[in-house]
Amino acid sequence: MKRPKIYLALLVVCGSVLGAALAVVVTGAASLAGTPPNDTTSHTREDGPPPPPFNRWISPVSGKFSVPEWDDRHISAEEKAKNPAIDPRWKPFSECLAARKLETRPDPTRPFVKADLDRLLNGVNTSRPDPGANKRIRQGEAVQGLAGGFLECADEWLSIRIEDFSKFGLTIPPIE
Amino acid sequence: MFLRRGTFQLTACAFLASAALTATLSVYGVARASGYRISVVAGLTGNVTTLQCYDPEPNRAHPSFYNKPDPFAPCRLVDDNLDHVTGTHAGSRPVDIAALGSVYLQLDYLPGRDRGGYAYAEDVSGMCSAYVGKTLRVWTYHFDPTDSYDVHDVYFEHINLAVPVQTWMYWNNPFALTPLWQPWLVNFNLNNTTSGGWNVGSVAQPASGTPAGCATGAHLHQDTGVSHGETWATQHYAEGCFNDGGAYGGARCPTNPSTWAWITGQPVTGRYSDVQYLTININ
Repeated sequence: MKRPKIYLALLVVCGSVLGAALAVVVTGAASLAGTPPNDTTSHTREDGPPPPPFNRWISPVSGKFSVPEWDDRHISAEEKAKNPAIDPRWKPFSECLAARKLETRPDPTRPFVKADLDRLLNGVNTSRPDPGANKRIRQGEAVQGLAGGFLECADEWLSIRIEDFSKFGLTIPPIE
Repeated sequence: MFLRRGTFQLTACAFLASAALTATLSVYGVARASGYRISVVAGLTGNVTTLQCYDPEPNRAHPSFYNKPDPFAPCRLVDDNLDHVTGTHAGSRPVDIAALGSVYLQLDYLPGRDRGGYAYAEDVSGMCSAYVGKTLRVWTYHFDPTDSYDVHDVYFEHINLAVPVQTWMYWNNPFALTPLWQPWLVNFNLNNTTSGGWNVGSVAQPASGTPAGCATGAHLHQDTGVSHGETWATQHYAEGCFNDGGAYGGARCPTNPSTWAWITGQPVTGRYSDVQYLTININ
Protein backbone atom coordinates (compact mmCIF):
# COMPACT_ATOMS: atom_id res chain seq x y z
CA MET A 1 0.00 0.00 0.00
CA LYS A 2 2.92 2.32 0.57
CA ARG A 3 4.29 1.94 -2.94
CA PRO A 4 1.51 3.85 -4.75
CA LYS A 5 1.93 6.72 -2.25
CA ILE A 6 5.63 6.96 -3.00
CA TYR A 7 4.86 6.75 -6.68
CA LEU A 8 2.31 9.53 -6.39
CA ALA A 9 4.69 11.65 -4.33
CA LEU A 10 7.41 11.20 -6.96
CA LEU A 11 5.01 12.18 -9.69
CA VAL A 12 3.93 15.28 -7.78
CA VAL A 13 7.54 16.40 -7.12
CA CYS A 14 8.65 15.67 -10.65
CA GLY A 15 5.61 17.35 -12.13
CA SER A 16 6.11 20.42 -9.98
CA VAL A 17 9.76 20.79 -11.02
CA LEU A 18 8.92 20.32 -14.67
CA GLY A 19 5.94 22.60 -14.47
CA ALA A 20 7.87 25.39 -12.80
CA ALA A 21 10.75 25.16 -15.28
CA LEU A 22 8.43 25.03 -18.27
CA ALA A 23 6.45 27.98 -16.95
CA VAL A 24 9.63 30.03 -16.75
CA VAL A 25 10.61 28.99 -20.27
CA VAL A 26 7.17 29.76 -21.70
CA THR A 27 6.97 33.09 -19.89
CA GLY A 28 10.47 34.06 -21.00
CA ALA A 29 9.88 33.00 -24.59
CA ALA A 30 6.57 34.82 -24.71
CA SER A 31 8.20 37.89 -23.25
CA LEU A 32 11.01 37.81 -25.84
CA ALA A 33 8.60 37.03 -28.68
CA GLY A 34 6.55 40.06 -27.78
CA THR A 35 9.55 42.37 -27.75
CA PRO A 36 10.07 44.38 -30.91
CA PRO A 37 13.70 44.08 -32.06
CA ASN A 38 14.21 47.82 -31.80
CA ASP A 39 13.54 47.76 -28.09
CA THR A 40 16.92 46.15 -27.57
CA THR A 41 18.69 49.07 -29.26
CA SER A 42 19.42 52.44 -27.74
CA HIS A 43 17.34 55.47 -28.55
CA THR A 44 19.83 57.78 -26.83
CA ARG A 45 23.42 57.10 -25.96
CA GLU A 46 22.47 57.11 -22.29
CA ASP A 47 20.17 54.15 -22.91
CA GLY A 48 23.11 52.00 -23.96
CA PRO A 49 25.80 50.46 -21.79
CA PRO A 50 28.08 53.10 -20.25
CA PRO A 51 31.71 53.38 -21.37
CA PRO A 52 33.81 50.78 -19.55
CA PRO A 53 36.30 51.87 -16.88
CA PHE A 54 39.45 53.11 -18.57
CA ASN A 55 42.81 54.43 -17.44
CA ARG A 56 45.40 55.29 -20.05
CA TRP A 57 48.21 53.79 -17.94
CA ILE A 58 46.48 50.43 -17.44
CA SER A 59 45.80 47.97 -20.23
CA PRO A 60 42.09 47.06 -20.36
CA VAL A 61 43.17 43.69 -21.73
CA SER A 62 45.90 42.61 -19.30
CA GLY A 63 45.24 44.87 -16.32
CA LYS A 64 48.97 45.71 -16.30
CA PHE A 65 50.35 49.21 -15.76
CA SER A 66 52.36 50.42 -18.72
CA VAL A 67 53.76 53.46 -20.51
CA PRO A 68 53.99 53.87 -24.30
CA GLU A 69 57.44 53.25 -25.70
CA TRP A 70 59.42 56.45 -26.11
CA ASP A 71 62.26 54.99 -28.18
CA ASP A 72 60.28 53.76 -31.17
CA ARG A 73 63.27 53.58 -33.51
CA HIS A 74 63.30 50.36 -35.52
CA ILE A 75 66.81 49.36 -34.50
CA SER A 76 68.13 46.59 -32.33
CA ALA A 77 68.17 46.73 -28.54
CA GLU A 78 71.96 46.78 -28.69
CA GLU A 79 71.95 49.83 -30.94
CA LYS A 80 69.44 51.55 -28.69
CA ALA A 81 71.62 50.84 -25.67
CA LYS A 82 74.64 52.33 -27.43
CA ASN A 83 72.78 55.51 -28.31
CA PRO A 84 69.88 55.81 -25.87
CA ALA A 85 66.95 58.11 -26.49
CA ILE A 86 65.87 59.97 -23.37
CA ASP A 87 62.28 61.13 -22.98
CA PRO A 88 62.48 64.74 -21.69
CA ARG A 89 59.39 64.08 -19.56
CA TRP A 90 61.22 61.48 -17.48
CA LYS A 91 63.16 64.05 -15.44
CA PRO A 92 60.14 65.96 -14.08
CA PHE A 93 58.27 62.66 -13.78
CA SER A 94 61.01 61.18 -11.58
CA GLU A 95 61.15 64.37 -9.50
CA CYS A 96 57.38 64.08 -9.00
CA LEU A 97 57.83 60.53 -7.69
CA ALA A 98 60.73 61.54 -5.46
CA ALA A 99 58.65 64.35 -3.98
CA ARG A 100 56.13 61.70 -2.96
CA LYS A 101 58.95 59.64 -1.41
CA LEU A 102 58.45 56.95 -4.07
CA GLU A 103 62.01 56.79 -5.37
CA THR A 104 62.78 53.33 -6.78
CA ARG A 105 66.17 53.97 -8.39
CA PRO A 106 69.28 52.45 -6.85
CA ASP A 107 71.13 55.71 -7.51
CA PRO A 108 68.80 58.74 -7.63
CA THR A 109 71.69 61.06 -8.47
CA ARG A 110 71.91 59.59 -11.98
CA PRO A 111 69.50 60.65 -14.75
CA PHE A 112 66.25 58.69 -15.06
CA VAL A 113 66.54 56.23 -17.96
CA LYS A 114 64.46 53.50 -19.59
CA ALA A 115 65.74 50.87 -17.16
CA ASP A 116 64.47 53.00 -14.27
CA LEU A 117 61.04 53.22 -15.87
CA ASP A 118 60.99 49.45 -16.41
CA ARG A 119 61.99 48.88 -12.77
CA LEU A 120 59.29 51.27 -11.56
CA LEU A 121 56.59 49.61 -13.67
CA ASN A 122 57.67 46.21 -12.42
CA GLY A 123 57.34 47.45 -8.85
CA VAL A 124 53.91 48.96 -9.54
CA ASN A 125 52.62 45.80 -11.18
CA THR A 126 54.01 43.64 -8.40
CA SER A 127 52.28 45.82 -5.83
CA ARG A 128 48.93 45.47 -7.65
CA PRO A 129 48.74 41.88 -8.88
CA ASP A 130 44.96 41.71 -9.39
CA PRO A 131 44.31 42.51 -13.07
CA GLY A 132 40.55 42.56 -12.59
CA ALA A 133 40.79 45.22 -9.90
CA ASN A 134 43.28 47.22 -11.96
CA LYS A 135 40.97 47.23 -14.98
CA ARG A 136 38.31 48.93 -12.87
CA ILE A 137 40.52 51.94 -12.07
CA ARG A 138 39.24 54.98 -13.94
CA GLN A 139 41.28 57.93 -15.16
CA GLY A 140 41.99 60.30 -12.27
CA GLU A 141 40.76 57.86 -9.62
CA ALA A 142 42.76 57.97 -6.37
CA VAL A 143 44.86 54.88 -5.73
CA GLN A 144 47.05 54.18 -2.72
CA GLY A 145 50.77 53.46 -2.59
CA LEU A 146 53.37 53.27 -5.34
CA ALA A 147 50.70 52.68 -8.00
CA GLY A 148 48.84 55.80 -6.91
CA GLY A 149 51.99 57.92 -7.06
CA PHE A 150 52.84 56.50 -10.44
CA LEU A 151 49.38 57.31 -11.81
CA GLU A 152 49.42 60.86 -10.45
CA CYS A 153 52.90 61.65 -11.77
CA ALA A 154 52.20 59.97 -15.10
CA ASP A 155 49.02 62.01 -15.50
CA GLU A 156 50.94 65.17 -14.68
CA TRP A 157 54.04 64.64 -16.84
CA LEU A 158 53.94 61.62 -19.16
CA SER A 159 50.63 62.73 -20.66
CA ILE A 160 52.20 65.87 -22.16
CA ARG A 161 52.00 65.52 -25.93
CA ILE A 162 55.11 66.09 -28.00
CA GLU A 163 53.67 69.15 -29.74
CA ASP A 164 53.18 70.74 -26.31
CA PHE A 165 56.72 70.09 -25.05
CA SER A 166 57.81 73.69 -25.57
CA LYS A 167 55.02 74.96 -23.29
CA PHE A 168 56.64 73.02 -20.45
CA GLY A 169 60.22 73.83 -21.36
CA LEU A 170 60.85 70.31 -22.63
CA THR A 171 63.05 69.59 -25.65
CA ILE A 172 63.93 66.29 -27.32
CA PRO A 173 67.66 65.60 -26.92
CA PRO A 174 69.41 65.24 -30.28
CA ILE A 175 69.97 61.70 -31.54
CA GLU A 176 72.94 60.89 -33.73
CA MET B 1 9.38 -4.26 -11.08
CA PHE B 2 7.98 -1.18 -9.41
CA LEU B 3 11.41 -0.15 -8.22
CA ARG B 4 12.72 -0.32 -11.78
CA ARG B 5 9.79 1.71 -13.03
CA GLY B 6 10.39 4.24 -10.25
CA THR B 7 14.06 4.50 -11.17
CA PHE B 8 13.07 5.03 -14.76
CA GLN B 9 10.59 7.72 -13.76
CA LEU B 10 13.16 9.44 -11.61
CA THR B 11 15.76 9.34 -14.40
CA ALA B 12 13.28 10.66 -16.93
CA CYS B 13 12.22 13.36 -14.50
CA ALA B 14 15.82 14.41 -13.88
CA PHE B 15 16.54 14.45 -17.59
CA LEU B 16 13.49 16.54 -18.43
CA ALA B 17 14.12 18.91 -15.55
CA SER B 18 17.73 19.30 -16.66
CA ALA B 19 16.65 20.00 -20.24
CA ALA B 20 14.10 22.50 -19.04
CA LEU B 21 16.69 24.22 -16.86
CA THR B 22 19.13 24.38 -19.78
CA ALA B 23 16.45 25.89 -21.96
CA THR B 24 15.64 28.39 -19.25
CA LEU B 25 19.26 29.48 -18.92
CA SER B 26 19.54 29.71 -22.67
CA VAL B 27 16.47 31.94 -22.94
CA TYR B 28 17.97 34.30 -20.39
CA GLY B 29 21.38 34.46 -22.04
CA VAL B 30 23.31 32.74 -19.29
CA ALA B 31 26.06 31.19 -21.36
CA ARG B 32 29.81 31.00 -21.48
CA ALA B 33 31.67 33.39 -23.78
CA SER B 34 32.61 31.99 -27.15
CA GLY B 35 35.65 32.81 -29.25
CA TYR B 36 35.06 34.35 -32.65
CA ARG B 37 37.84 34.88 -35.17
CA ILE B 38 37.69 38.34 -36.67
CA SER B 39 39.97 40.20 -39.04
CA VAL B 40 41.70 43.56 -38.87
CA VAL B 41 41.76 44.58 -42.50
CA ALA B 42 44.30 46.79 -44.26
CA GLY B 43 44.08 50.37 -43.09
CA LEU B 44 45.31 51.61 -46.43
CA THR B 45 45.49 50.60 -50.09
CA GLY B 46 49.08 49.93 -51.11
CA ASN B 47 51.80 47.32 -51.27
CA VAL B 48 52.99 45.25 -48.33
CA THR B 49 56.68 45.87 -47.80
CA THR B 50 57.43 44.19 -44.47
CA LEU B 51 55.98 41.54 -42.20
CA GLN B 52 57.85 40.26 -39.15
CA CYS B 53 61.33 40.30 -40.70
CA TYR B 54 62.87 43.19 -42.59
CA ASP B 55 64.76 40.67 -44.69
CA PRO B 56 62.89 37.40 -45.27
CA GLU B 57 64.94 34.21 -45.05
CA PRO B 58 65.36 33.10 -48.68
CA ASN B 59 66.62 29.61 -47.83
CA ARG B 60 63.82 28.73 -45.42
CA ALA B 61 60.36 27.98 -46.77
CA HIS B 62 57.43 30.16 -45.89
CA PRO B 63 55.27 28.20 -43.42
CA SER B 64 52.25 28.36 -45.71
CA PHE B 65 53.69 28.83 -49.18
CA TYR B 66 56.15 26.21 -50.30
CA ASN B 67 59.49 27.36 -51.65
CA LYS B 68 58.91 31.05 -50.89
CA PRO B 69 61.10 33.13 -48.55
CA ASP B 70 59.98 33.04 -44.93
CA PRO B 71 59.12 36.52 -43.60
CA PHE B 72 58.70 35.31 -40.03
CA ALA B 73 61.09 35.01 -37.09
CA PRO B 74 63.84 34.12 -36.51
CA CYS B 75 64.88 37.09 -38.61
CA ARG B 76 68.27 37.39 -40.28
CA LEU B 77 70.64 40.33 -39.87
CA VAL B 78 71.57 40.56 -43.55
CA ASP B 79 70.25 43.54 -45.50
CA ASP B 80 69.27 41.56 -48.61
CA ASN B 81 66.84 44.12 -49.92
CA LEU B 82 69.22 47.05 -49.26
CA ASP B 83 66.73 49.11 -47.28
CA HIS B 84 69.28 49.80 -44.48
CA VAL B 85 67.20 47.93 -41.91
CA THR B 86 67.65 44.35 -40.69
CA GLY B 87 66.33 42.10 -37.97
CA THR B 88 62.87 41.97 -36.46
CA HIS B 89 60.13 44.43 -37.28
CA ALA B 90 58.83 46.09 -34.10
CA GLY B 91 55.32 45.50 -32.83
CA SER B 92 52.91 42.61 -32.54
CA ARG B 93 52.01 41.05 -35.92
CA PRO B 94 53.33 44.12 -37.74
CA VAL B 95 52.64 44.92 -41.37
CA ASP B 96 54.03 47.85 -43.36
CA ILE B 97 51.97 49.12 -46.27
CA ALA B 98 53.74 51.62 -48.50
CA ALA B 99 51.46 54.32 -49.88
CA LEU B 100 50.06 57.74 -49.17
CA GLY B 101 46.38 58.17 -48.41
CA SER B 102 43.66 57.93 -45.80
CA VAL B 103 44.04 55.38 -43.03
CA TYR B 104 41.05 53.50 -41.62
CA LEU B 105 40.29 51.19 -38.75
CA GLN B 106 38.09 48.48 -40.21
CA LEU B 107 37.23 44.98 -38.99
CA ASP B 108 35.63 42.05 -40.74
CA TYR B 109 33.87 38.76 -39.96
CA LEU B 110 32.22 40.13 -36.81
CA PRO B 111 29.58 37.64 -35.60
CA GLY B 112 25.92 38.60 -35.47
CA ARG B 113 26.12 38.63 -31.67
CA ASP B 114 28.71 41.43 -31.84
CA ARG B 115 26.40 44.44 -31.61
CA GLY B 116 28.94 47.25 -31.74
CA GLY B 117 30.28 49.31 -28.88
CA TYR B 118 32.89 51.91 -28.17
CA ALA B 119 36.23 52.90 -29.65
CA TYR B 120 38.83 54.94 -27.80
CA ALA B 121 41.90 56.38 -29.49
CA GLU B 122 45.11 57.37 -27.76
CA ASP B 123 48.12 59.25 -29.06
CA VAL B 124 50.98 56.99 -27.94
CA SER B 125 53.63 58.62 -30.08
CA GLY B 126 57.28 58.10 -29.32
CA MET B 127 60.39 59.98 -30.32
CA CYS B 128 60.14 59.25 -34.07
CA SER B 129 56.79 60.97 -34.27
CA ALA B 130 58.63 64.28 -34.06
CA TYR B 131 59.85 63.47 -37.58
CA VAL B 132 57.43 61.07 -39.22
CA GLY B 133 53.82 61.19 -38.07
CA LYS B 134 52.00 60.06 -34.98
CA THR B 135 51.31 56.67 -33.46
CA LEU B 136 47.66 56.03 -32.70
CA ARG B 137 46.42 53.20 -30.53
CA VAL B 138 42.73 52.38 -30.92
CA TRP B 139 40.90 50.28 -28.35
CA THR B 140 37.77 48.68 -29.77
CA TYR B 141 35.13 47.40 -27.35
CA HIS B 142 32.68 44.77 -28.65
CA PHE B 143 29.37 44.37 -26.79
CA ASP B 144 27.20 41.26 -26.97
CA PRO B 145 23.46 40.79 -26.28
CA THR B 146 24.15 40.39 -22.55
CA ASP B 147 26.04 43.73 -22.46
CA SER B 148 29.27 41.89 -21.72
CA TYR B 149 32.20 43.03 -23.81
CA ASP B 150 35.64 42.18 -25.08
CA VAL B 151 38.30 44.71 -26.07
CA HIS B 152 41.39 44.69 -28.29
CA ASP B 153 43.79 47.26 -29.68
CA VAL B 154 45.22 48.17 -33.06
CA TYR B 155 48.21 50.47 -33.64
CA PHE B 156 48.60 52.80 -36.62
CA GLU B 157 52.03 54.43 -36.95
CA HIS B 158 53.40 57.26 -39.09
CA ILE B 159 50.10 59.05 -39.59
CA ASN B 160 48.66 62.53 -39.34
CA LEU B 161 45.79 62.21 -36.88
CA ALA B 162 42.24 62.88 -38.02
CA VAL B 163 40.37 61.83 -34.88
CA PRO B 164 39.83 63.16 -31.37
CA VAL B 165 42.00 61.31 -28.87
CA GLN B 166 40.85 60.19 -25.43
CA THR B 167 37.23 60.45 -26.48
CA TRP B 168 34.64 57.69 -26.45
CA MET B 169 33.37 57.02 -29.95
CA TYR B 170 30.27 54.98 -30.79
CA TRP B 171 30.19 52.26 -33.42
CA ASN B 172 27.72 49.71 -34.71
CA ASN B 173 27.95 46.37 -36.41
CA PRO B 174 25.25 46.99 -39.03
CA PHE B 175 24.94 43.23 -39.60
CA ALA B 176 24.34 42.44 -35.93
CA LEU B 177 21.12 40.74 -34.93
CA THR B 178 20.36 43.85 -32.88
CA PRO B 179 22.87 46.68 -33.42
CA LEU B 180 23.80 48.36 -30.16
CA TRP B 181 22.97 51.94 -31.13
CA GLN B 182 20.40 53.59 -33.34
CA PRO B 183 22.08 54.54 -36.63
CA TRP B 184 21.98 58.27 -35.93
CA LEU B 185 23.92 57.82 -32.68
CA VAL B 186 27.04 56.22 -34.11
CA ASN B 187 30.27 57.81 -35.28
CA PHE B 188 31.01 54.96 -37.67
CA ASN B 189 30.19 51.38 -38.61
CA LEU B 190 32.56 48.41 -38.63
CA ASN B 191 32.19 45.07 -40.42
CA ASN B 192 31.04 46.69 -43.68
CA THR B 193 34.36 46.84 -45.62
CA THR B 194 34.72 49.87 -47.88
CA SER B 195 31.29 51.22 -46.96
CA GLY B 196 32.45 52.11 -43.46
CA GLY B 197 35.34 52.01 -41.03
CA TRP B 198 36.84 54.82 -39.00
CA ASN B 199 39.07 57.28 -40.82
CA VAL B 200 41.78 57.78 -38.17
CA GLY B 201 44.24 59.80 -40.24
CA SER B 202 46.46 59.83 -43.29
CA VAL B 203 49.97 58.60 -43.96
CA ALA B 204 52.59 61.23 -43.07
CA GLN B 205 55.51 62.28 -45.22
CA PRO B 206 58.78 61.86 -43.29
CA ALA B 207 60.62 65.09 -42.52
CA SER B 208 64.23 65.61 -43.46
CA GLY B 209 66.91 64.88 -40.86
CA THR B 210 65.11 61.86 -39.48
CA PRO B 211 67.26 59.95 -36.95
CA ALA B 212 68.51 56.51 -37.89
CA GLY B 213 65.87 53.92 -37.17
CA CYS B 214 62.89 56.21 -37.69
CA ALA B 215 60.94 55.63 -40.89
CA THR B 216 62.30 57.39 -43.94
CA GLY B 217 59.68 56.40 -46.51
CA ALA B 218 55.98 57.18 -46.38
CA HIS B 219 54.12 54.11 -45.18
CA LEU B 220 51.59 52.85 -42.70
CA HIS B 221 52.76 50.53 -39.94
CA GLN B 222 49.82 48.55 -38.57
CA ASP B 223 50.00 46.10 -35.69
CA THR B 224 47.95 44.63 -32.88
CA GLY B 225 48.22 44.03 -29.16
CA VAL B 226 49.72 40.96 -27.57
CA SER B 227 46.58 39.08 -26.58
CA HIS B 228 43.60 37.55 -28.37
CA GLY B 229 45.62 34.92 -30.24
CA GLU B 230 46.46 37.00 -33.25
CA THR B 231 48.10 35.83 -36.42
CA TRP B 232 48.93 37.32 -39.77
CA ALA B 233 46.40 36.82 -42.53
CA THR B 234 48.98 36.08 -45.17
CA GLN B 235 46.60 33.82 -47.04
CA HIS B 236 44.64 36.84 -48.13
CA TYR B 237 47.34 39.30 -49.12
CA ALA B 238 46.81 39.05 -52.82
CA GLU B 239 43.04 38.85 -52.68
CA GLY B 240 42.59 35.60 -54.45
CA CYS B 241 46.20 34.78 -55.06
CA PHE B 242 46.46 32.93 -51.77
CA ASN B 243 43.44 30.89 -50.90
CA ASP B 244 42.59 29.82 -47.36
CA GLY B 245 44.42 26.54 -47.74
CA GLY B 246 47.62 28.32 -48.59
CA ALA B 247 47.62 27.10 -52.18
CA TYR B 248 48.72 29.24 -55.09
CA GLY B 249 46.55 29.84 -58.10
CA GLY B 250 43.98 32.57 -57.54
CA ALA B 251 42.87 34.74 -60.43
CA ARG B 252 44.89 37.77 -59.32
CA CYS B 253 48.20 36.03 -58.67
CA PRO B 254 51.37 37.46 -60.21
CA THR B 255 52.22 35.64 -63.40
CA ASN B 256 55.77 34.97 -62.31
CA PRO B 257 56.03 35.18 -58.54
CA SER B 258 59.62 34.86 -57.50
CA THR B 259 61.63 35.41 -54.36
CA TRP B 260 61.02 38.89 -52.92
CA ALA B 261 58.10 39.70 -55.15
CA TRP B 262 56.08 37.03 -53.44
CA ILE B 263 56.22 38.71 -50.05
CA THR B 264 57.11 42.29 -50.77
CA GLY B 265 55.07 44.26 -53.21
CA GLN B 266 51.88 42.29 -52.66
CA PRO B 267 48.92 44.64 -53.09
CA VAL B 268 46.32 45.06 -50.40
CA THR B 269 43.11 47.04 -50.55
CA GLY B 270 42.26 49.38 -47.72
CA ARG B 271 39.21 48.37 -45.66
CA TYR B 272 39.06 45.08 -47.57
CA SER B 273 42.15 42.85 -47.41
CA ASP B 274 42.64 40.84 -44.23
CA VAL B 275 45.89 41.71 -42.48
CA GLN B 276 45.65 40.33 -38.94
CA TYR B 277 43.28 37.86 -37.30
CA LEU B 278 42.11 38.18 -33.70
CA THR B 279 39.85 36.12 -31.48
CA ILE B 280 37.25 38.00 -29.47
CA ASN B 281 35.27 36.40 -26.68
CA ILE B 282 31.63 37.39 -26.37
CA ASN B 283 28.41 35.64 -25.40
